[in-house]
Amino acid sequence: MMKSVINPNIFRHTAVASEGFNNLCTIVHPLRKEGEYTGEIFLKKQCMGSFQLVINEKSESTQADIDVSLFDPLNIRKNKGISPNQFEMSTDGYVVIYASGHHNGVHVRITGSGDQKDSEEFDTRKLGKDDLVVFRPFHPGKYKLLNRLAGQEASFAIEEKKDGGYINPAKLEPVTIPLTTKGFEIPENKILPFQAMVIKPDIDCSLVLEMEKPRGKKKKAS
Amino acid sequence: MPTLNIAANEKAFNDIIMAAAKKLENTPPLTGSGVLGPFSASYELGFRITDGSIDLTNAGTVHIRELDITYDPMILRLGIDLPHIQIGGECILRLFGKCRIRLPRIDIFGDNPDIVVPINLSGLITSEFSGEFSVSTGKQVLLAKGTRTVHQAHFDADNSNEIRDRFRTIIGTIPLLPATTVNSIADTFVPMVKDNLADKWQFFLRDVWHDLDIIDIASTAENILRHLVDFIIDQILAPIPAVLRTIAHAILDPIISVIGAVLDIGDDVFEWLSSFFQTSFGLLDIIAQLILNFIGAMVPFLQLETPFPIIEDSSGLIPVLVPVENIAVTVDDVEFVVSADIL
Repeated sequence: MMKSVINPNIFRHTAVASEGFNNLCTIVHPLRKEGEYTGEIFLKKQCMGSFQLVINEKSESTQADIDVSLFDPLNIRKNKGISPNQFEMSTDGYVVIYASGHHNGVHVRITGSGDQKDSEEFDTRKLGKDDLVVFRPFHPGKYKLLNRLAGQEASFAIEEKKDGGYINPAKLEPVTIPLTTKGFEIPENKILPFQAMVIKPDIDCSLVLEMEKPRGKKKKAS
Repeated sequence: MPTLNIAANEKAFNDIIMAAAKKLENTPPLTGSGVLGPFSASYELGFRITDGSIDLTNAGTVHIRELDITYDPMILRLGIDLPHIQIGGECILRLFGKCRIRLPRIDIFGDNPDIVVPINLSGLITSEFSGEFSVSTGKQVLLAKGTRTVHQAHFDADNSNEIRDRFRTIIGTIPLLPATTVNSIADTFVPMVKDNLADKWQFFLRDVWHDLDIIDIASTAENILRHLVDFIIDQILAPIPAVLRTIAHAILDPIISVIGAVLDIGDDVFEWLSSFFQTSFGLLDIIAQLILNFIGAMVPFLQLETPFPIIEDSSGLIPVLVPVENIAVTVDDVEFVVSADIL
């Protein structure tokens, strides 16, 4: 039997919620206060692992990339017991939380440690003005974007190139979608598979991305 | 002067030649490889003799008729090296002209994107060999014999590398064969010739004409390759649920097309691979000719010691050795006859 060479997680999901995210979603949050923080990663209700994050003004790192999938015990075993659980970044940096694996329903909670122990600094289930949420749907089709907290909704399509041309994911510019009290501002430009959709919320939000209809399939009559 | 006549009828002669030909099956498989952009191909090729007959003719020649050569092993390995394509790495926040946040990178393909598919065609492709050969004779005298008496030379095994080295030298003149293959081919033939240190009359089949037909290799190879590319793509898509295959095809097919376009292969890959096969088999034909020439000059289908042990004594007494000279061969459509003067 030949080895599978494609990353199977890429095609796994067609929907995601920021409250319990998967590999379609990346959450970005700034942490400005110097100090030591503890992060806990939950897969649904189960704590999958924890990490330490040091915010240091002198650090040259402007972001801490936290791949929650690497905290899965199966992955830790595969990586010979190594999980990246120490992070550091500067006071103008951002925590970038994402899943590279199959995991779904993940949330991350960051609290202070030391003097600030137990003070909640960030919870991926509670997103607000300073945060960025990046969705990256892979499958062509019709999608719906929702902000559950404000009952806002918008539709858009992920389309293949009509000329059947080559999609080079590395050359796709991210699409920015502001979210205000007026709702989502979806750009008119075509959005392609693999293209990053950066949601910039101006309000508190709990976001959901759902595929309504895959490409080439007619919607069932209700 | 007394003479010696040894005759073999057509059936006996057939058995002698086929026995010698069967020994050639031990020749080590030929190997080769080629690379074009992300595609690569290599092969391992040996043969077996599966059918055929040998006739003696009134023209004094030996006619090998429709000798079926089945390629076994015949193993083709076709590989594709997929490019590393990642998603992520885009800048999503830029401040004062500097990127502040980049999205993490995730590989579309796994850790090892090289795919090699071995195709075992052993026993599936057959060539037909026909040819006409004259019979020639020669005398082998080994330097390793030195000053030994004829009886010592009869009893002493040839432990030298003289025959092997001669073979290697001659096969080494065949172009395109790597040294390891030269040595392997030479070493395969050595046991067919090497014996004791006595002088020997040797009988060779010299190529008058031959014809090696490779049956349907082009269409066979192309069909196999076309299916193979589909097979490889299916393997790439193997981990993807069937319901999503169409989408994955939509994403991957253009990628594969672009790889092809960029490297200027496209459909030409089939032509290239076909040409690769044809060239290889063309080379094989040339190599076959050169090997036939080598066999015709160096590898006898029969050899007789001289002096000939006309009586081998099993009681420990020395054998009766009779010098054999003026050897001659006649062939007609009934028998193969060796005549010689006994001195």
